[in-house]
This record gives sequence, C-alpha cells and structure tokens, in this order.
Amino acid sequence: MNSQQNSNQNNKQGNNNPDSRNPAATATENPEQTREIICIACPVGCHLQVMFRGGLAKDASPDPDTIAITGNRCPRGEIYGREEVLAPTRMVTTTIPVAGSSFARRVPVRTTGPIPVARIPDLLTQLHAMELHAPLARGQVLLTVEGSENSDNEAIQVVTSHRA
Amino acid sequence: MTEYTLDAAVIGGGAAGMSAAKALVDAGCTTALVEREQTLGGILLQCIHNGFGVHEFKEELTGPEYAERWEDMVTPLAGPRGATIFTDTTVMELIPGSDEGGFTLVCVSPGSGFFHIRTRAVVLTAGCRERNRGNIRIPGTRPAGVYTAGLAQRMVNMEGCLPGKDAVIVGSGDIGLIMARRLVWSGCRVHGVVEIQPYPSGLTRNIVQCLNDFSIPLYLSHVVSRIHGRTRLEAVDITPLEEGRPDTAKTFTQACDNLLLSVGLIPSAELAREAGAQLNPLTGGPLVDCRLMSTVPGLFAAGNGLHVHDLVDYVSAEARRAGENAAAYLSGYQPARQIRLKPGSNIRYLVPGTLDPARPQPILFRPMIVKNGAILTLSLDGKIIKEQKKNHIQPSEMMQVDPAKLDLGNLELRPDSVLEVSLS
Amino acid sequence: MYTQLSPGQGMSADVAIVGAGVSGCAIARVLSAYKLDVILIDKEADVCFGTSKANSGIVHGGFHHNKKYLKTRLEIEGNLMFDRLHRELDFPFERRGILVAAMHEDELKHVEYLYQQGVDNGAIGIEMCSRSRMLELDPQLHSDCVGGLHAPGGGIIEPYRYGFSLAESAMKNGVEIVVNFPVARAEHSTAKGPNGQTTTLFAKNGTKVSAKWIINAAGLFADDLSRILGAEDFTITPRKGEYYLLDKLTRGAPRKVLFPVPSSISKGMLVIPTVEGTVLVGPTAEDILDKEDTATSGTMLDSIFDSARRLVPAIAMNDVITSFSGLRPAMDSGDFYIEPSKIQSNLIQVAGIQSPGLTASPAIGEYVKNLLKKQGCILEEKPDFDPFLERIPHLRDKTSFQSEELNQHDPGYSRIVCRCEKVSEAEIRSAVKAGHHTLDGIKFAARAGAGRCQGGFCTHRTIQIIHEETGIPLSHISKNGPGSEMFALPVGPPALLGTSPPAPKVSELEVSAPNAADQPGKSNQGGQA
Ligand SMILES: Cc1cc2nc3c(=O)[nH]c(=O)nc-3n(C[C@H](O)[C@H](O)[C@H](O)COP(=O)(O)OP(=O)(O)OC[C@H]3O[C@@H](n4cnc5c(N)ncnc54)[C@H](O)[C@@H]3O)c2cc1C
Ligand SMILES: Cc1cc2nc3c(=O)[nH]c(=O)nc-3n(C[C@H](O)[C@H](O)[C@H](O)COP(=O)(O)OP(=O)(O)OC[C@H]3O[C@@H](n4cnc5c(N)ncnc54)[C@H](O)[C@@H]3O)c2cc1C
Ligand code: SF4
Repeated sequence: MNSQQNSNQNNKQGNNNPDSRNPAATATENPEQTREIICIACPVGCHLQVMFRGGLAKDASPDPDTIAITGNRCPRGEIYGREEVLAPTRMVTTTIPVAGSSFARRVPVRTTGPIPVARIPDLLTQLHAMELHAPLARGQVLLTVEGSENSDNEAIQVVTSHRA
Repeated sequence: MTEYTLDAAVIGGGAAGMSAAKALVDAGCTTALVEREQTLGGILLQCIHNGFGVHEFKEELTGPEYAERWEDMVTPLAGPRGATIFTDTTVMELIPGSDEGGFTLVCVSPGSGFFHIRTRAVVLTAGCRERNRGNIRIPGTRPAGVYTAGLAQRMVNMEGCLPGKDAVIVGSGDIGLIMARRLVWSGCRVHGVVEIQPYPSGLTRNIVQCLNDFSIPLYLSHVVSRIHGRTRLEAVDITPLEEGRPDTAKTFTQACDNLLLSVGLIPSAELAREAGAQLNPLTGGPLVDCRLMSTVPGLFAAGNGLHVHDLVDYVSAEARRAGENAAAYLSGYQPARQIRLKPGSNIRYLVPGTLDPARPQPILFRPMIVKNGAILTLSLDGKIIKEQKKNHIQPSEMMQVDPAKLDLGNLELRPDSVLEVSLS
Repeated sequence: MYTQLSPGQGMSADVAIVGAGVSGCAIARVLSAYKLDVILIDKEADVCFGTSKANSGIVHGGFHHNKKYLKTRLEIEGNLMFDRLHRELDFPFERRGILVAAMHEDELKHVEYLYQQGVDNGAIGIEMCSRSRMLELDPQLHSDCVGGLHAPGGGIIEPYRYGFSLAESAMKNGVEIVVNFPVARAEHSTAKGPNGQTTTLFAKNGTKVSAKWIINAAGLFADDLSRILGAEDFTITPRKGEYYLLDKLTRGAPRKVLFPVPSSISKGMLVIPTVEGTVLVGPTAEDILDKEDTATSGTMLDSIFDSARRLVPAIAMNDVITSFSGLRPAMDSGDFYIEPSKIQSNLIQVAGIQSPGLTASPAIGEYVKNLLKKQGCILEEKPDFDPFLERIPHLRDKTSFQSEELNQHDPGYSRIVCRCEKVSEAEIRSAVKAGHHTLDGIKFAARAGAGRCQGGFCTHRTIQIIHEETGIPLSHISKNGPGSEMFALPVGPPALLGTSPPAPKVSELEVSAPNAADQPGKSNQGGQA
C-alpha cells in the first residue's frame, strides 16, 4: 500500500456523514455479519475484517468457531483479532485522592494486567470513590479485580504506581 | 550568597535530566541535578497511563513508575558518589563565563533562597511547553474552558478536577488521544477529536483504545474555526478542509463546555537562547553537533528540551549520550573531525547536526509522510551506503538509525563529507 | 480587598461611581483625598475588566487632535500628570517617545500637519526628524522611512496595572469598591435639591447602593446606565480594535511607539513596545453592534502583519503568543461627554471616553471633582490622605543579589510559579491579598500566565494559591468572575456510552450566528490607538 491509499483510507474516519458519526447510533438490530477492527499488535495498523459465519445476534457473545479474520498481514493479526472480538481486555490506570502526603494530592494506580472491558466502568467508579492515606509505596496492592486473571491464572490487582 | 562549584550541572530532573546526571556521575564527574518541582520525574508524573519503558526496562510501565525507577537509581548517587540533587529549585539564569566553557547557574529555592552553581559543563534537559490557542490563532471569544491538554491532564490526574462535562479535543497526537480516554473515564463526555491533517498523528493503538473504544468521532482534515460563549465555552465551529482550505459552507457547530488543545510542543530553550546558543528553527531547540553540544561550548542539550520526543526510552538514551559526551568534553575530548548530517527527501529534521566518525552516535529524525513499506536510505556524498526497509512510518513517530553499524572506518571520508538520510 | 454584597444587603455613601475602568478609578482616587464616603461599583469581578484592560497602553503625545476638543485638552493635561502618579503608585510606565514614520515623501505633508497641531497644543519637545534621525531614534524602523515626527513626551503604560493601583490607592484612603454589582435599576428619592435627593442603585439580585451623588463612568454601557437613571438619551457605538501580542524574545521589538501615517484607505497598524518587553501589533477598527463582542476574528491577520512589517520588517507571525480585542465606546460627537446631567441634578455623566481616555484619565479625575464642587458637593481635604502605595517588588526586575534580599524578607520570593515571566509565589499571594481573586486578575496584576506559555504551566499553581489565600473552593475559582469557573467538577464515575445522558445536539443546519467580524469589507482596517 502506498502512502496515498493509506491516508485516503484513514480520511474516511473524518468524512463521516452526520448519522454515522456516532457508530453506536447505527448499531443494527439485525445480526452482525462483519466487524472492522484495527490491529494494534504492531504500528502498521492493518484493518481486519472479522466475519461471523451465520451472523452475530445483538448482545450475543461470538462463537470462536464461526469467526474468520481477513486483512491481516501477519499471523499476529489473527490472534489479536480473535481476542479482541471474543474477550477484549484493557489495562486500566487512574488516580485516587491521598491524604497526608507532603507532595501529592492524588496517587496514580494501575491494574497489574489487562482486565475485561466490561468490568472497567464499575472498577473506575469504585476507584474514584476511594480515599487513601500516605505514606504509600509504589506497588502497594489496593484491591483485587474480581473475575480477571492473567495468563498464569493469577488474579489481577490494582496497585499504586508511584509513592505518595 | 552560597556558591557551589562542581564539574557539571543538569537543568531539569525529568527523564532526560536523571539519565544525563547518572551518566555524568558514572563517568566520575561531580554533578548538580536541579529540578524545580519537589519530586524528580518531570512530565512523566502526570502521564499516568502505561506504555513507558519498553526499551529501557523491557516492560510496559506507567509514567510515574518509569520516573520512580529512575529516581531509585539516581537518588543513591547523591553525596560521596558525586551527585548533588537540588529539588524545589529553579534555575533562573544560565550565564556563560568569560573563560570558555564555564557557567554560572543562578538558582532559587524556598529552602535556601538564591544561590549560584559554577560548572564547566551544563546539560539542558528542561523539557518542553505546549503550543496554545494564541500560537494556532483560533478566532472567537475568550471564555473559560479552553485549556491545553497538558494542563487538563495535570488538573484531572493530579488534582482530581475536571475541565467540564462535554469536551472537544483539537489535535490527534497521543496527548490528545490519551486525554480523550481519561476524560471519559473520569466523567466527561468527549464529542470529537479534530485533526487538521488527513491522517491521525497519534499511535494506532491510541486511536483504537482511546477513541474507538468509546465511539468518539475523529474528524480528520478538519479545524476548529471559531470559539463561542461569553463567560463559559458554549460551542465550537468545526470546518472541514477541502484541498487544504476551509470549506466554510460545511461548517457545523458542536456544543461543548471545554476544548482541549493538543497542538504540539515546543522545547523550552529559553535558557539556552539567553546563554547565546543558536536555535534550530525546525525543532525549536538548540542546534547541536555530534556531541549534542550547542553552539555555546560546554552547553549540551537532550530530551524534549532539545527536540520533542514521543518515546521516553529515546529520551533516556539520548540524555545518557549527552551526559557521556559532556563527561568526555570535561576530560578534554574533541572530535578530530565532524561530517555534516543532512535531512533528505521526506525528512522534516534530524538531530544531531553532525557525526563524529570516531564515535558515531544514533541519528534521530522525523519523517514527513505516512507510509507502509518505506525505504530508509543513507548516502555519503551522493553514494548510497545503506538501505533499510521500514514496515511503517508516520510523522508522529520519531525514527532512529545507528551509524555505528555502518563501518564508517572503511569509507572514504573527506573533510567536507555529507551524510544524507532520506525516506522513500 | 473588594466588597461583595450578599443578596438583600445594601450600602450608602455620599458619592457612588458606576464603572471601575480607568475613568472611574481615577475619579475615585481623586475623591479619596476628601472627607467623603465614596463607593466605586463595577459589574465585573475585578476593576478594569472592560475597555481599560484591552487597549494600546499609549500615553499619547498631544498632537493627534485639535485642542478645540475636550479630549485633547484633557489628554495634554493628563499626560503631564503621569510622572507624579508613577512616583506615587509605582505602575509600569515609561516615557519612551512616539514616532510617526513617513514611508513616502507625500506622507510627510500629513506629518507636518500633525507637528503643527502638536506645537499649537503645547506638546513638549515635539520635533520633525530626517530619515537618519528617525532610524537613529529607532533602528527597528524600516529603512524605507523618509522622515517623520518625534514626540518625546509620549509614553507606554500597563493600563490594568495603572487602573489597579488607582483602585488600591483609593481603597487605602477609604473608598469602598463593590464588585459583581451590575446596576440594573435605579430609584430617586422624592426630596429635591442637590443635598436632598438621593439615588438608590439596584443590582439584579436585590443588593443596593444609595448615594447623594452618582457618577456615570460605565464606559460602553454609559448610555444604558443613563437611561436606567432616567437621564439623557444618547448612544454609544462599540468600535472593535484587535491586537496581536508578540513574545518578548521577538527580534522586532521597537524602542519607541511607532505610528504609520494614516492614508485615505487605511490608518495602518501601530507597533507598540510594552513596558514588560512584549510587543503589540494593532489595532484594527471596526464598528460592531454587540457591546460584549470582544471575539477576535483572525480574518485580517495577514493584512495586519503586512501593515506592521511596513514599519518594522522584523515582525514575525511566529512570535504571536495571543490575540485580544478591545471596544472603544464611541459617541457621534467624537468627543468626551463629561457634564452634569441636565435632567438628574445629582448625576455627572462621564461618557464617550474613547481614545485618548487612558492618557486623559488623571485629568478626568480632577475635572469631575471640579464639576462636583460646582454642583454643590462640599469637598473638604482629608489631612491623612496618603498618596503613596507600598511598592511590591518583582523578582523579574531584580538582580540575584537583590533577589536574595527579597527572599530573606519573604521566602515566597524564592518559589517560582510562572516560569515564562519569572513570577514568584510571594507576588501572586500579594496580588490575591489585594483583591484579585480570578485568574485574569492575577494575570494582569502579577503577570502569572501572561507570557509565552499563556498559563500552561502555572495555572494549576495559581488556582491553588488563590484557594489557600481566600478559602474559595478550587471548583469556584474562575477565569474572570461567576460563570467562568475553570475546573468546576470533580473526577467521578466514567461517562461511558449508555450510562451517560445523551450528547448535546450537533446543530448541522443551524449556522452559527453571523458575525460582523467574519464579513470582509465591512471593516475598515486600522484605527487610532
Ligand atoms: C501527555 C504525554 C504522554 C506521553 N506518553 C508517552 C508514552 O506513552 N510512552 C512514552 O514512551 N513516552 C510518552 N511521552 C513522552 C515522554 O514521556 C517525554 O518525552 C519525556 O518524559 C520527556 O522527558 P524530559 O526529561 O525531556 O522532559 P520533562 O519530563 O518535561 O522534564 C523537564 C524537567 O525540567 C524541569 N525544569 C524546566 N525548567 C527548569 C528550570 N529552569 N530550573 C529547574 N528545573 C527546570 C521541569 O520542572 C521538568 O521536571 C509522553 C509525553 C506526554 C507529554
Ligand atoms: C482598541 C483601543 C485602543 C486604545 N488605545 C488607547 C491608548 O493607547 N491610549 C489612550 O489614552 N487611550 C486608549 N484607548 C481608550 C481607553 O482605553 C479608554 O478611553 C478608557 O479605557 C476608558 O475607560 P473608562 O473607565 O471610561 O471605561 P471602561 O474601562 O469601559 O470602564 C467602564 C466600566 O463600567 C462597568 N460597567 C458598565 N456598566 C455597568 C453597570 N451597569 N453596572 C456596573 N458597572 C458597569 C464596566 O464593567 C467597566 O469596568 C483605547 C481604546 C481602545 C478600545
Ligand atoms: S496484522 Fe501483523 S502487520 Fe498487521 S498490524 Fe497486526 S501485527 Fe502488524
């Protein structure tokens, strides 16, 4: 692909007509047939087409056996695409107010690994309502995110990412 | 007035400053590290997301973690090992002495008032500042609610205060994208990111995880053309560009109560400029030679204070070189000759400006185009000496090439040789 | 410290001045030397937030207008009063001198005319200059200059700091300044006669101020206020002037105030050095309808800079750090209207104060005092009037040895908050203590946030300091008064799709309100400062 094509392709994102500006508004009630996602496993950013054989009903979770992925330039894209469709996860970072620190009013925190996307809103709501007390060391465990494990089956935790 | 005399001083205790100071101390130089804030770390402390340190630590750390790891390495160097760390201390003035290479730093801190540090070498690692509304000249009223993204990042992450409940972001660089997610996660809706270029300037990963995850529209080839609202921001006009010019007929209005500007960073080079260093108009930072030394002998620069970086790992590495080069300078090393480095096709700028064939160091440069499968070419006096395929290039991602691997010793070098870097 | 009335609260005085621009502040300060209760009222959160903060900041040299105008007579008188005021009040002021540069032989005719007018007006030291003398007086001038005029008595001033110091001096001598008080309604007591009648002014929230004498110094809104008071009917037309402010590291900073020679097509742009080392380019001149429309248009950017570069070639657009605009309160007569009202005997009108209002303001204060006296107001000097203000040292003006002394006095001087302008915490704290509780107020009073980063680095610190000094919660700290709170909400639960209320409407079709500024041709470029 040359640069011209690439930028044109990206440009589509900007030339949305008003209705499609909010993709959520256009979510169809009909079963979803394909979904386009961008691979982020490397900077090339392939546009992956994820096909759901037989269609995917609204709010249904996809069956791994009915998924086919195209558009990837290397095998990592396939792995990423499947994961992103079947069980998307993200790292979460935020800050929490801390009392009694001489230099900080809030302390940064992070999850020790990616957690299921669906758990993020509740976790953030919980974290933003907390208040901590200094002194805190980096890496101090604050809580365990229920129902999330890393590849070694260890529970994901929320830890401080700086002293306070 | 108290006065300290040391071999070298490092101005700014962010990622670059800590790395430069460590390199100087490791090379046996007594070194002052001066930081205006109470803690070392610089801008990293407000970048609470993860994605730092993949090269330096082979791990994905958050900004504060990356900073504290470095702090843990630098703090023990204080005292007998040769470092003196001044936090909560601002360098007000950098005065080059009359004898070549000497400097006086006029410092001020609430703890010790005004004092001087005298050194023979200085590494300037003062970071950068954000371009603001005046720099990009958005017309309209001047209400509350228009902030630079970095200020908003600081207020949200470190003070817990939101700029509003409905945002529009100008600029799709990584700071703008990361702020979009931060705002949504903190309770503020984001109604769009407006980018003047036809391509996003941030990493694809950030487009996906900071915009697409939240269905935030990205308006490419669009500009914010007017600001509305008397006391508080009420709306902005957004205008698409057709062939690079605003198509005013297609202007639409987006209601919002805050507008974050992520429209570029400029090295804080004021101290260098006041000390007499020449600036590079393309980077905004000082012009530097193969040693990362400015046109003022003994004054070195690195990190965002030299040119704006997107990867902190490159910052740490560049500053380590600046520290090592400053130590070499103090021990009397002078490059026997320097060959000029020249940006060729599709390269916006490159740093440093020259190469020491005896001690070749990495060349950092920024492409001007977006392309997959680009070819990087190095040519010496018009002869291609190396070609390399690059998977993907884009202007927002700084690139690096290491001429140490070029085997310069076997090439024929003239005193006026030019090494050109280009992309196609 | 300013007074802020709570709903239902009232105050009374002998004299109430409405409008705390430079006119109102100058009047208040003059009156503060007499045994009178004086209240100075403004609708904004701080003084000088109207026209008095956004202008060219020139102390004019007395040659632009004929002395048949009141404004010219007050300009000349006012100009001469600045040295003394500067000594007493310590605001930034320098007699840099003004040059009017002719770029063509034909233009010299007009320069000669201005020279003659200046001589007739009694402008001190005014001279005609050859090309070489012009270039010697300001080497930044374009070498095309063929000659011009030099008015050494002209100067530059920081208008808001000047206004702030007048207000502070007035307060020090007993004047009450009431802010956030927009006069919306007035009642006159029935008792007639100069000493019998009192007038009560009401703000929207029911707070009130009553006084025997009212002075209308409401700037752009003087016509509205006159109607509210049941006095003369006149009209004030706002004329917008737009400026660009250049970084102090610009290579185009002139030494003198530089005027081009106005042509029939355009009055041209001025290039004005400021006391703080930045440079102003402007102003445009454009009649508009809305008295609060200080929007900048950006449409004339190129022609503004072209025009400025004809005076100073080194002016570069890259040096722009911000732009702003101010509104001249123009009246048809083209002159100041400073007279006792013929309808309300206890009212003095101070209206139509357009350029050179800043220059004239010290004289306006004296002039209004004399009118009051003529109207029967009894003025008895206060024995304890103190014309001097304590000097607040600024770190940026000091050498490091002087700074060390400051630090021993107050360690707050050694914590730098605004790095671009070298403003210390101590300076910001004293500005807050003086009554400036908004970010704009702090910017004008202490320069924190006025430099090249425009507050990118220091805003969070300034907010914190205002909070510490006043106890105002962080979420209530505003840019320039109620409604402009900076960071009003705390971090809370995420605003994820589906969980949040619907997004505000995107008005695709509803084209944004047409703005005069956007219509080329409607504005004539250039204007007097
Ligand atoms: C929002 C944002 C997101 C980023 N995201 C990533 C990412 O995901 N991954 C990644 O690898 N990189 C990222 N970066 C880039 C990287 O973090 C920065 O480039 C790097 O931290 C810059 O370090 P520095 O030391 O050059 O500058 P800074 O961190 O700015 O340090 C400069 C220091 O100098 C001090 N200073 C300045 N002037 C003076 C003076 N006169 N006297 C005393 N002290 C002074 C300042 O207080 C400051 O502490 C991001 C940057 C930003 C801004
Ligand atoms: C672009 C421009 C450039 C200029 N350049 C120069 C120059 O270089 N030199 C010079 O000498 N002059 C200059 N002038 C003129 C000068 O700025 C003005 O003459 C002067 O500032 C007028 O001051 P003022 O106090 O009369 O009015 P303002 O500063 O407008 O003050 C009026 C005040 O009244 C308040 N107010 C209004 N209505 C009410 C109400 N109902 N209740 C309570 N308060 C109310 C407002 O909030 C405001 O603070 C310039 C003007 C402009 C616009
Ligand atoms: S599919 Fe492979 S090449 Fe394409 S973006 Fe993903 S990792 Fe990169």
